[in-house]
Amino acid sequence: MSNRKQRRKRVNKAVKKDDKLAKIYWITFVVAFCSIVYQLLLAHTIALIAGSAIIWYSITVGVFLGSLGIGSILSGKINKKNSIQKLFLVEILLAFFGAISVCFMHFVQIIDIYFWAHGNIKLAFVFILFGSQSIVFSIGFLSGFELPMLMNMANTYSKEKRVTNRVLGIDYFGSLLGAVLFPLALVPFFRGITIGFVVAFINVLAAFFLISIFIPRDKKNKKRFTACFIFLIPLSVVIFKSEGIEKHFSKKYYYYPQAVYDFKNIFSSFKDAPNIETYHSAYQKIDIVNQQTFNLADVLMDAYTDKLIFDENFPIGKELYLNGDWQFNSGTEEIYHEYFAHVPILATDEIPKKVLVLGAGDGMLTRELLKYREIEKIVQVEIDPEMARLSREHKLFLAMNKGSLLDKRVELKITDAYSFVRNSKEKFDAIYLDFPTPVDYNTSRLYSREFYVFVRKCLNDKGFIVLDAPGVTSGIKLQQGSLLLNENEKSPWKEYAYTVKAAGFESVIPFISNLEKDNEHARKLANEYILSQYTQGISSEEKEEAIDDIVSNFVLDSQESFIFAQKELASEIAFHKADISTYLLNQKRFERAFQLDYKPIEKVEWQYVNSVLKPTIPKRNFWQIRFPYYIQ
Amino acid sequence: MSRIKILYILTFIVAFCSIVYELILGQALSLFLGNTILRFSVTIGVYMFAMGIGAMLVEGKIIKKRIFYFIFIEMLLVLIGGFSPILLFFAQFVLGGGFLFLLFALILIFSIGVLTGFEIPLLMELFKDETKDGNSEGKVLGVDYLGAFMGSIVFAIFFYPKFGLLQTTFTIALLNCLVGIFFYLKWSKKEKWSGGEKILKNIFKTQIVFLVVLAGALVVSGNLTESLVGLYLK
Repeated sequence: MSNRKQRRKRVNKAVKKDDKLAKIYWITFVVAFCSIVYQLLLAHTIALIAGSAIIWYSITVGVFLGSLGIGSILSGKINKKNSIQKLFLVEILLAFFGAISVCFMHFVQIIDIYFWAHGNIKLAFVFILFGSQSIVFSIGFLSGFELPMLMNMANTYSKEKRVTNRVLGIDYFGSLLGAVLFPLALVPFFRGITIGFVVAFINVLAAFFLISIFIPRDKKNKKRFTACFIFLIPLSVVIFKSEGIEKHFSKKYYYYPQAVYDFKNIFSSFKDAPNIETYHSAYQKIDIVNQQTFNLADVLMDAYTDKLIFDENFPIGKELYLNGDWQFNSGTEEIYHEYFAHVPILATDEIPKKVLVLGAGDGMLTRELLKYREIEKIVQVEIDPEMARLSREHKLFLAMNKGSLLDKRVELKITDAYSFVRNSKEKFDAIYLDFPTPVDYNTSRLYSREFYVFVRKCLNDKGFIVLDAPGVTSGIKLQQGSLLLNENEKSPWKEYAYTVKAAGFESVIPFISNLEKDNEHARKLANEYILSQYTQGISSEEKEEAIDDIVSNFVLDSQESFIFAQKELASEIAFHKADISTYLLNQKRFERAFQLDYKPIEKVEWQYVNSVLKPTIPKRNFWQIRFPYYIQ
Repeated sequence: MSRIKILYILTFIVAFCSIVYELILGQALSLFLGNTILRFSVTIGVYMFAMGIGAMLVEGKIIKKRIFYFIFIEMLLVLIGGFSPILLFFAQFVLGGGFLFLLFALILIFSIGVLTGFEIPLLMELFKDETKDGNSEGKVLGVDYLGAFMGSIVFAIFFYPKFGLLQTTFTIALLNCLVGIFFYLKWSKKEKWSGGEKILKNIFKTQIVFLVVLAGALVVSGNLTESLVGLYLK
């Protein structure tokens, strides 16, 4: 009788032990999931804030892993007594830092804009480096304690080697779930801020279970329970308020630079600033911003374009930003889209019948192309379903693109452009490539030699391609009256051009949207502006100089660069009249578009060619931090 | 240098190599199948999952023969990691871009993950042989994380843009191979089980062959890249 009782007792004890071990495994799984999501979230947020995604992503992941290492090395130095209570503290601290991480990062960014605007570029870099990485380090360091502590805990229940390895294994499973869920299920559907709050919430719950399962209830423990609840309440509030918090930071990012000269504005709420519409997708954050302020450049633009005369209802002052990068201003977009669409067609003898448009999901480029009655079919490839939806449904976009993506001649395909051209058997007369500025290896593929070879396969013999070449204009200099390209460290022109050439395009010709400086109407507007600024007298010489400055700055700022390439050598570039109406482009400006002094390419220099096996784009620039367009 | 310091360095290097193999495979996979975000998460996910399985598979028998297994695993890692991009190029040529190709790529990633998962528990045991320090787990993990940290930074900022995908692979595999050889020279005498010596010697010879092949591949990697691109563009 007593024997049986004893045995039952032993069995009970073993079951309890296994039960506790199972609970340790579960906690390991959850905290591992939380840690990896914090890490990915931090890397994601910093890459969005900073311009050069590769460097910042690597630094962030690196610092995180490094601080994990330091944390787990130091965990051995801690007294093993009360390790559960210590793990609890680690989890609560982690939840705290995780919850504030994204907001903290945005705050660092706002202060950084202040430094940048005041010309302290190096200080801005150092500040964003240390500011952003301090929180990465804190979270990584704390996460580093988790695994050794959990292993120790498991070892108090069983000394078997198996148990340690199992904790390690389950830690990896938790990481797996986090690594897969983050890009596939979290980023597409939730705001970064929300993700931080929700994961912190889960983390607090894990801490709560930890103490409720493993330590006896005493007075001190009660305090811990209370701490959990006190923490959970504001967390659940901010989870539901996260849209407002995000809006606040967006407003600051877009509108703060105008108020940048007053440091106090860092803390103001920007309640009265115009609203910002934000949409999230798996690929990007889409912001529609209202720029209501007086902008000299917009006023000067009126001197060059007839858009607002003939199209009174065209929306003004709306700007599109993708991941915080400026795309266009509705008042001035034609300087980009008209040159992009029409210059290549006007330069060739024949108007294409079948056109392929890669990217350009806003539909503005397609709007221009639809002006040609000769174009029978446009296949448009856009990767982001959310962008395509906005272009087809959103009132503002429909007003701007005139419903181009709903046109019968347009066939919209939602897929990755790289895969599309690689697998497509169709042939086109013209191919337009409009992709985001390459900031990482992901976008760099869309500017690679391999990609252009696939594009060339989709092209008819006499056809052409034209691509947006972001960053090239930064390398254009005015020298003795002509615009000089080439030989500039900053400009990626060589990388683009040699890559296109290496893909088998015979002629590669750059062109720019090059407005004239001697526009009388523009000079008159500049004159009025100067008179409004100087109440005291100004000599006529000084005035002429100031006018010249304003207009040439405007012309330089509004330059966009493109590359036009053909399979066969272009016979001659001349203006062929096509029966379309444009607001900005005319024969004179067409000719100016090709007025670039550059060395034509004869032999490919392979060290510049951007290949998927060895990328040369993006050209890395440590100092670059992402800012709204108008402050740069 | 004390054996313990050597072990630290070895841990660092093997973690460094593993993460670079993984990044290379993720990059290569997204080249063939597009949709980078999906490919990278699948790669990282499968890799971590496999590491978990690897870590859990290490049990008594394996721990007993830890020196043998560590050398053996390093050899396999060099073989699979060092030649995986080339294998992928040929696989996509033979299998096309369909399900079979994806399966093949996932098997490669999974194998590297499992082998990497083996490493850490084995290293922890090897540490315990050398020291009575109670925190060898924490330290091994720490150095392992630091290796991964350096690997991910150096790959993105230096190796990929400066060396390209192939040359990086060969360089890393070469480094990994050297680790295996060095470990054999320093530790193999400690392994005492009948017949072990002979097998270890054979592994050592294989490692030397790999070393020569990899060095040769590194020399011709420029031409190799050209022909692989040709294959890819077909």
